[in-house]
Amino acid sequence: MTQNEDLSDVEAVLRGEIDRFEGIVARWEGPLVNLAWRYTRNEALAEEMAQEAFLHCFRKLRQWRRDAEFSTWLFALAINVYRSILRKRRPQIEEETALEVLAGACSTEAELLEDEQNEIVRRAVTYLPETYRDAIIIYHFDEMDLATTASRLGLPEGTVKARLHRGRKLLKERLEKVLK
Amino acid sequence: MIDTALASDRTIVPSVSFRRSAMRRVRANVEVPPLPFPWKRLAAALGFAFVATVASIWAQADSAAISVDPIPLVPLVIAMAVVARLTAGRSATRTA
Repeated sequence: MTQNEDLSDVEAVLRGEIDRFEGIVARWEGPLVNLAWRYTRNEALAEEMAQEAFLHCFRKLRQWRRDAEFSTWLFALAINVYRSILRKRRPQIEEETALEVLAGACSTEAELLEDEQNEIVRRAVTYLPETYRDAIIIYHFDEMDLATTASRLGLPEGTVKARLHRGRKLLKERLEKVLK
Repeated sequence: MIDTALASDRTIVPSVSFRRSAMRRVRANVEVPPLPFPWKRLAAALGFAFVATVASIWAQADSAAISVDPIPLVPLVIAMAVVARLTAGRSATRTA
């Protein structure tokens, strides 16, 4: 049903009915903002990034080939936009230092609460190298559906599996240092 | 622990103004018109340059009592004629 609505709105926009693009925004604002949130852990920045993704979507709408689902194309485009924005924004900081500061700030008790530990894990993911970060974020965003993750990243499933494995290993090493 | 942390991440709701802001940016992207090429200004500038060149040559020829060979001016005259024709063609298209 969503695919039919997307197709209808896309064709209308390409005919010049610009206002129909609002239908696409309405259907996909939640997923795109939440995907950006997982990359940044900052709600305002997540919205800014999602808006940029929609603008790119509008400009490149003619490039959508109907053989792929619109959502797959839209997510692949959004991921590229998010990567590009984060490369420009992210200062060169020591990830371990940032995580240690976060761990220290979360709680004064000897043991961190589970929620705080989970948030440190989520932040730590955003500091991973791009290839591992994207695989882990998209995989969990897609509720651990490997096929969907692979299609959104434009990679074979085997490659995504390898990146997930290496990314988790690196993440575990870093977290062991911070959450000792 | 990693899977638990990532699977249990909360969902955020886009702000009320998100859709409006997004559409504003999209419409702004559409409504910027391309700058038209200033054909009339170009024709006027070339015309002025031609007149100034001719006047200068004739003034020099007159003071030096030298006869001026008009042949070097032919390419400039042809260029002016082409520009005048193009300008006339564009004006006719705009009116239509």
